[in-house]
Amino acid sequence: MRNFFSALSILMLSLLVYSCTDKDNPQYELSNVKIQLVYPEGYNPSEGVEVSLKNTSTGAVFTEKTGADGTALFEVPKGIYEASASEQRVIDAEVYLFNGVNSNVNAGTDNVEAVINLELSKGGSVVIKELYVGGCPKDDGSGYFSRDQYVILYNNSSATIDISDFALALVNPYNSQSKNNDYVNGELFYASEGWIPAGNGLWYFENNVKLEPGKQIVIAICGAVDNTKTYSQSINYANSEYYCCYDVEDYNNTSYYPTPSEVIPTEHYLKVYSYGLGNAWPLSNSSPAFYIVRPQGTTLKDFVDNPDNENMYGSNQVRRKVPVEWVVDGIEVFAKGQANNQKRLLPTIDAGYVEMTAKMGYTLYRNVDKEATEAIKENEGKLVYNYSLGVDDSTDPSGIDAEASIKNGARIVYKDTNNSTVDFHQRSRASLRN
Amino acid sequence: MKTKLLLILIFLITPLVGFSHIISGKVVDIKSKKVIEFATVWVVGTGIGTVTDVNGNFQINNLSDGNYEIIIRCLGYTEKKEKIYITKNTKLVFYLSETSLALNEVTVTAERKADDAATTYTLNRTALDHLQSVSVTDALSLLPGEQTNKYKTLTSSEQVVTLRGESLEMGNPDFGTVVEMDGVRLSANATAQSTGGTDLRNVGNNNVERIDVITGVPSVEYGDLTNGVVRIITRKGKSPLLVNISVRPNTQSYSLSKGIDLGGKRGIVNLSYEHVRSVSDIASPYTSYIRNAFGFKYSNAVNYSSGRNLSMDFSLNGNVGGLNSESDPDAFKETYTKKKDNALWSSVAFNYMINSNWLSNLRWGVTFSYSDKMSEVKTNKSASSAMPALHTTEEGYFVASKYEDNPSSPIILLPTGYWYVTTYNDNRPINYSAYVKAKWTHKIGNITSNLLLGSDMKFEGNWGRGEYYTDMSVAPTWREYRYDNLPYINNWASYIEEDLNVSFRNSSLNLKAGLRNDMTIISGSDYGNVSSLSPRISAKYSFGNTDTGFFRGATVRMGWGKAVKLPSFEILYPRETYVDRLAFAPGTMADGTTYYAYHTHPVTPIYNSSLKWQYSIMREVGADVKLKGVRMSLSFYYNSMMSPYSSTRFYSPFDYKLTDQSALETCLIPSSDRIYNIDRNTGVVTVSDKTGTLPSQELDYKVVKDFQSASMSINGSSSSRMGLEWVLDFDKMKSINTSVRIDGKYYRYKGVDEVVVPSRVNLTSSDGQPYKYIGYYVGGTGNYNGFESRRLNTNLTFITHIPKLKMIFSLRFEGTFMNSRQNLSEYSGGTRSYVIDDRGDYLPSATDKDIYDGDNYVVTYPLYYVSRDDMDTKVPFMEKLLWAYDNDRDLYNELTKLAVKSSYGYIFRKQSYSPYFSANLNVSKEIGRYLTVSFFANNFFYSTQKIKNEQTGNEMSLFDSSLITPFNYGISFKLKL
Repeated sequence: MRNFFSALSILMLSLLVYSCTDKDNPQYELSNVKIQLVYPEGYNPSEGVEVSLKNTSTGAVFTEKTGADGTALFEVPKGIYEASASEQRVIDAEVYLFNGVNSNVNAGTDNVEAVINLELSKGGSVVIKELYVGGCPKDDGSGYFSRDQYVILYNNSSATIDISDFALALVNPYNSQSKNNDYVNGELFYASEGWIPAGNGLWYFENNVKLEPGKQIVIAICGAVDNTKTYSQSINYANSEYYCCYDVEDYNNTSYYPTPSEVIPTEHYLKVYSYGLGNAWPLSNSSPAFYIVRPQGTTLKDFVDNPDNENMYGSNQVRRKVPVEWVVDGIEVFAKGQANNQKRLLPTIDAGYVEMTAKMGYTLYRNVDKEATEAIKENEGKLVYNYSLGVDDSTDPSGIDAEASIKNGARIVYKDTNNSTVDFHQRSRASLRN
Repeated sequence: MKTKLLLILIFLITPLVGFSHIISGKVVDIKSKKVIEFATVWVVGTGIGTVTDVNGNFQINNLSDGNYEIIIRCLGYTEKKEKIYITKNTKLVFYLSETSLALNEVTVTAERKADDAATTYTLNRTALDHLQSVSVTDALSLLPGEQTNKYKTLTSSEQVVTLRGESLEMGNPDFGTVVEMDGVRLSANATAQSTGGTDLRNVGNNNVERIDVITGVPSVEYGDLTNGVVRIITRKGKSPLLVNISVRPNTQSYSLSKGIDLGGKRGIVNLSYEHVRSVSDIASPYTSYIRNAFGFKYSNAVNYSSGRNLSMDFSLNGNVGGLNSESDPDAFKETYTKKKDNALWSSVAFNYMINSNWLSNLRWGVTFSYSDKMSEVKTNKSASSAMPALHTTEEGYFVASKYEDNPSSPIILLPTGYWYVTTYNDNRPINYSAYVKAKWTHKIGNITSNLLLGSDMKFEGNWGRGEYYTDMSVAPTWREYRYDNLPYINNWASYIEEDLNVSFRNSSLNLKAGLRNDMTIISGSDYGNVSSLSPRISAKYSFGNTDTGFFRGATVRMGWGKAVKLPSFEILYPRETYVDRLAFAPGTMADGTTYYAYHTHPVTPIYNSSLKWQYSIMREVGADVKLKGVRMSLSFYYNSMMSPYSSTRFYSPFDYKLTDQSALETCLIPSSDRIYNIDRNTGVVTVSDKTGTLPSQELDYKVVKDFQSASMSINGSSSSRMGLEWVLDFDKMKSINTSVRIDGKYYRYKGVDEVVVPSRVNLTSSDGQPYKYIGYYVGGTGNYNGFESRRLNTNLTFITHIPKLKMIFSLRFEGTFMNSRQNLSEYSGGTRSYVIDDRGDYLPSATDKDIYDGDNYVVTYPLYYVSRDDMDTKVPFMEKLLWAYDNDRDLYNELTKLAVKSSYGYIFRKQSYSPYFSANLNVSKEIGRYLTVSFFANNFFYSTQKIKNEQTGNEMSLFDSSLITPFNYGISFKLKL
């Protein structure tokens, strides 16, 4: 009953206001409104940002773009307005979202000045969509083939991102279940020093690579040939779109690195800055800790060459100390069924882990952000549900079959909470085999 | 000096007084009173002896007045020693008792041979039976302070004996320990790819009559050794049929042996057969090591009326067996590993007992040893793209081709898909020798002189063809290296030794001095002839021998000697190596084919003409004291291993051209029509069109500035081993039928390698080229270049022997009171390792810290380095690094790659374990006349004790650790029919 009266009062009041305004301003009197966008500290205003003024009584919306000084000029009928602005910037391959609302701009006089205080939030960026490292059964039943690893990077944001200076890294100790000497008094000693170890070498792009929103890049980590003729459950990398890790001057183990399929252009080869021993990049088949690095304030080469960034594991295993803030995305993989798995990635990179059963052709696939994906209008009718490719109790809780939906033309937004326990699941089939 | 020595020798060999008396008599079984044929009757401390004839009779001529000790031995009987005093011709009857647990005296431990100045132990058959050894190596755990073998099965690894030394030490102590069976050297010198000990898994265990272990300074008769001799003596003589069945979880053993008297003067034949099957996993008993050891021995002796006696032994021992996993259902279909471990050891030995004024006996014979260690491994392979298999043996660039296109191509592209490959490794070392030695014993008053002169020729080679493949279409990268093409090592040894015994009223003195010369002749190699002299002396003084009172006699002894070890084939003939560099890698085609090209540079092995033969200087003092109720034996030794065999690498600059797929991006010829040619000399790749439509095209390349390396055998730094071994035997406490033995050893090893060796960092420089500096490190690139280890073991054995019950029970506690290791970083010319303040640092701490002082991270520098641009200028490393730190940051960054940092702060903290123990139980019981049952349980309380490692502070459990013998048990039945 009380609610009824409240609603009635609001309705009455609205009617009164509406009738009064109408009555007091029989003609449209205009006001010059200057809206200044105020950015968080450290960020400069930019030109061309759209600012909206919405008349709170009529609902009329006016838009203008900012000038170089971050101001937008309006000529609007006098009244009370709500001013809002949002801007998306891509800085260092990260999407920064600036949003602000000023709900009380009183354009009652001829010249009015008001501000919108923008707040910053980080949007989705480039994520590891899939990591396939465990290998698959051989056709003759003699074991498993594992020299067919790949990673798929995906632009989860709505901006094109330049990933040319991204690098692929792995943590040594290579396996989660093996003894980890980095634990001192129960804690990873590098946690307090703000870095994460990169074992053996770092793979980098030699050429410019840009990733459009919702697009992906496939990187064969080893064995970039058509493996399916011999191993029918493996991957065929004979695809001109694909990239591959191949640097014969450092890693010349031809069983890991046969010369890539001739259809992969050489500009799609990632090269390596290798500083460890051995003739291959030892990404674990059972339980790697894999991550993407983007150097800041220096080049990858200078970083690698500087002995100050060196750290030794054991007597002869050289590592580099990658600052934690350089890490774009990471995934911590635990060997399923092992009791002694230990985390290597720090919580800021990956607060959890995803379990994997190796040798079965399984892959680690990122879960779909259901809410965000469904919120995209264009996805209507394109999303495929009833996802059934999870393994055992590990599946995508969104129920959306991302790959099938992409085929339908949907734009998938993946879950990115920096916690692979909730961000990833084990998929029974590598997506490149779809 | 030499003249003096010669004069002494002349004096010694001049006969002064002749011999006159004869001792003769019979050897008789104490129970049956039957005569015993083929018993040896020997005069202790001389070269005089004989063998009883069909009627059990013996005769020894030419003995002068004096005290003698006679030792009588015969298979199946307990050895007998008797002291006699002779002034005239004497007739004697010796009674021997059949070996049985019913006897009062039964030995189940290692006995020290009292009549030898050098420390020598004997392990007799009763001890081996009671221990239930499966391998000869098991038995050696009975030596003072030694512990029960850590192996549970024969499949796991080679079983090697190392005397007065341990594995991981410098100086190859296992290689310096030699094993002989019936006088045949089971040599490992010509075994391919090994400078290690002799694997004894193929030696039959149940046919062994006794094992003599010489750990002290041996007689000059023994050469080609540095650490000691293990002599295995197989059964000889008439014996009933012995059947032995022994079972334990991983291993079963069945054996038969019999000594047959052929009757009349036809001699005796000993036959034996032993089948042992040992599986690696009792849950899947398929992969197994099989031993089928056989023995044949023919012995005969002719006694002449003059009292002379000629005896002859022909022995043929061997094995057919090895490791086989073919039937293992857990292995993938058709895959297997088969490793033959066949062997044949044979010898013919003649012993002519002359007992004349000029010659006591003359021995001669030949030995032959042959092993077949052929391994055959069949593995399954698969590939999705064609992998190259390099068989190039010539210098130059070569492109791969498919086997079907060119079967003799230097580089073959292996198939794609699935296939099998069988790798054969034919390794068949052989050695044979001939020897002659003469002993002349004469007595002048209270002095007995034994002069030994001898010579032997030994030839060692290998008949194996090395690794090979029968199907070249699937053979991996491989180059033929035939062992049978390697020159033989021929060694001619000659030696002279005087063994002087002086008897006083209550004491005796024994002096032994000998000289051995080894002339090693390796024709067809750069080594040529190498001569090495080994002088050895020893002395022993015994006094106060009596059967009453508290003090019942003592012996003090000492020895000093040099012993030379001949090199192994691995040391002598470094392999030709091939530096293969990928020179061209075109993209993989749709069918998985890619035509790799490689540059191959064969590196001729470097023969080190100044290589010296490794030797040891052995020093020993000892004392044996007999008190009322206890016998004590102490031996102290200090051995130095000099110029041990070692190897190093040498580097020289080497450029090659690399062409990769990027050079083909502009190639217009479709990949399926391309023919790749690489210029053998220049390395330039040309692509031509199969169809002839498009013109040929030369590809761009990059020059890679690399190194090549070769290995060379060198002499390493010396190391020292010292130790004290003790045995205390307390007499049997009659009331409880129990005797106690305490034996143990303290052992200390120290070795620091100061040989400066080059080492290369396998990294790229910042310019993308291979790392261009070579560091020269003192004793290698490790943070430590040596270590000192100490060990204190004590065993306590309770032996309860109840003759009435024909039963013996022993309980042995093995205690390790000290097991420590201290890593060392030492260099007599300065410092090689420095403390760093932080593990990230490369420069030494500013404060003067000691690397041994607690927890410190350490950096080790090379002494100097050379650059690829100037290989002759040696730049002092540390000086340059410090300079570069301030003046040339890029150089500093590069040089830090040569600095080796420790991964732990405790690397130079002493590693030591708190004491730990295990216990073994052995029981043997004779049931009736024919059956003996034995049972054992090793480590029977299955120790779960936790011990602390002082270095890391960590605790570890002894459960299933490698420190003590694993829990094991078994039973055996011995039938005497």
